[in-house]
Amino acid sequence: MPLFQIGYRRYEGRRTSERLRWWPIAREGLTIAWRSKLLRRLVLVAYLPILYFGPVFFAIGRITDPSTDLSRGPWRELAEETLSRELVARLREDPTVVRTAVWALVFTLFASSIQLILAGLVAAIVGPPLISQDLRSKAFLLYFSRPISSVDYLLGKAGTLGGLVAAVTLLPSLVLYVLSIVFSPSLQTVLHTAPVLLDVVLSSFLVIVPVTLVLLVLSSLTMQPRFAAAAWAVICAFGVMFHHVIKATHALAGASWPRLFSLGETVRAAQLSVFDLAGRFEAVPGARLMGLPRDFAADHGGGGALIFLLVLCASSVVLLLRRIAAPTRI
Amino acid sequence: MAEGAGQWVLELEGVTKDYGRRRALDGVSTALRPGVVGLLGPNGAGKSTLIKTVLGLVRLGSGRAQVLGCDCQREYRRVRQLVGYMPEDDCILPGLKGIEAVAYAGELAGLPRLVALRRAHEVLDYVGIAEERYREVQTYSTGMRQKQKLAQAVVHDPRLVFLDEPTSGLDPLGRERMLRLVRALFDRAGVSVVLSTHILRDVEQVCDEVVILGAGRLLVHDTVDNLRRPVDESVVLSLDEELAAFTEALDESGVRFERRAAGELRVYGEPAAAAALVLDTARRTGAVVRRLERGRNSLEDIFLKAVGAGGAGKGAH
Repeated sequence: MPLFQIGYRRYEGRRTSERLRWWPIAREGLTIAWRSKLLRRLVLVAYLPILYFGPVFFAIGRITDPSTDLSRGPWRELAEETLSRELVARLREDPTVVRTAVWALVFTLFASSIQLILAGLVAAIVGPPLISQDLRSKAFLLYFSRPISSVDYLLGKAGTLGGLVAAVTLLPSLVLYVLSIVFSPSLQTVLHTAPVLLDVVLSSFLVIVPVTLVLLVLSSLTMQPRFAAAAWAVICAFGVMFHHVIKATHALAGASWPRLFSLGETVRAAQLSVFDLAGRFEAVPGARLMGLPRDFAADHGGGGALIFLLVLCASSVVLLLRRIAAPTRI
Repeated sequence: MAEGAGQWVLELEGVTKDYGRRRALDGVSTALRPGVVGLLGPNGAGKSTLIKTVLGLVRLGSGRAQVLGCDCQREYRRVRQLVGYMPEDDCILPGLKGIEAVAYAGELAGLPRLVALRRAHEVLDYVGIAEERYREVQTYSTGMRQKQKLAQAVVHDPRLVFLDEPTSGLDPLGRERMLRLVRALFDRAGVSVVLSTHILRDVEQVCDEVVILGAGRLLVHDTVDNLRRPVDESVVLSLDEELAAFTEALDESGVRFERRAAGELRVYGEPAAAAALVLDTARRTGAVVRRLERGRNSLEDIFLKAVGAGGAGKGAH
């Protein structure tokens, strides 16, 4: 016991804005989740591809710098290996025109390296208990007896999961972008590549938002976090399985609608549509998708995927708000 | 109306709430003055629904509820700022230490982070959680959890606090301490308390007023003193051992008396005369009187009478 107890004291001081009531929920969730060693390791893994793509941007920087002697140094080989010999040649000739397309391509490669898998794993670790545990321990009474609304609660929980999914998708991409600017020959590159930065942010949100909302829905449907985790595993496994079925079935390979059965494939198609590689390389005279993997440039039915994700997110929000408010009505 | 306007902390006007076909609250109208009020009623009487109504967690069918002049439905955020709630269930936030959980509750109620942490330490001192505050809440005993919940309910300095079964699961010493804390909340800090409980002795011990609900209706709302004031003058006694000769002698003397629970007898009449008669009868029959006091109504009698009458459809408002 304290040596001197001041007893109960009144508080007449300042209160935080009602608009920011979601923030303590998100921050507390992040703090608790971050205690997991596995999660910290997964986040670290998300930054490993920078060790490869960072030097690629360094090489691109050297190639687009007219003062660099390309006959020496290993960067030309690295760039040719990643982008093809013809594209590197075009980049050297006309960097202002080709740079945006090339950057978009590298960021697409970066985004599709391991980010989707890591996002799925992080979501599987952090997401399942977020709402289900509150339902189980009746902690929702603690939240809703305080001046917060269902929307604040949802924003807080989404902030926790979305923040950690962003830590393995958006943040590594932003770090890579900053590095690529640092390696560029002039700051004018920022102006040329601003649309790519926007695409990077957009494509990351195409992973963060659906993954977060779907997992929160699963978490809100049960009081047992393990059931939510199992449901997420089934969704992911089904997606991977369907992806292989599509690849193996010639009749389905050209069609875009079967991809909607796989959340991962849908997100990937939407991301590719945001980066618009086909359109960007069309604008590069002479490039004509030289050396590009066909998979990146092909039409993936991105429009349909975007609409599907939009509908999925909207219905998830509606369902979540209903589920969150439901226990308090009992 | 501005906060704190009027003399009532809680006003209910024709509050009605239905869950499907079941009527949980049926036109409840009353107003509570600042103080400690006991909220009594059998299971399903509507106590929890009433609390949820005040917190704006359930939408009213009809009627109006106000806390310190703020409408519970339209201004639910303001009301929740003014109200604290200690639920009956543990409501544990997994992974948080005691101090973290209380500070978090403060932040959710709008306290800045550092202020919430300072307030958390203050209220944990107040409820008597010492170094244990640095342990995870899951490891707490029942008594500690009750204290923890009380700290969470008052960390944001509410004007009115609802305590749902705060002494449930506590040993006698813990119960005494909890009741002292509850009483001190109003006496020292001016925080009004609504104590929802099934333990009538707790209400007798700390409450100024009592509200009894039954089948969703208000059956009784009065001060504890008024309720316990005897309708008929009497004395209550208990004997060392029950003697048939003693009751036969009382019967022969023509005085009206009745047997009560736990071997007690209530003898009606002017207290001094009734006491003299009891002692005289005891001397004659060799009975040993262990306790003799002026008769008062017990809350248990009042509760059973009210709930019985309310259940039979005769609400005694």
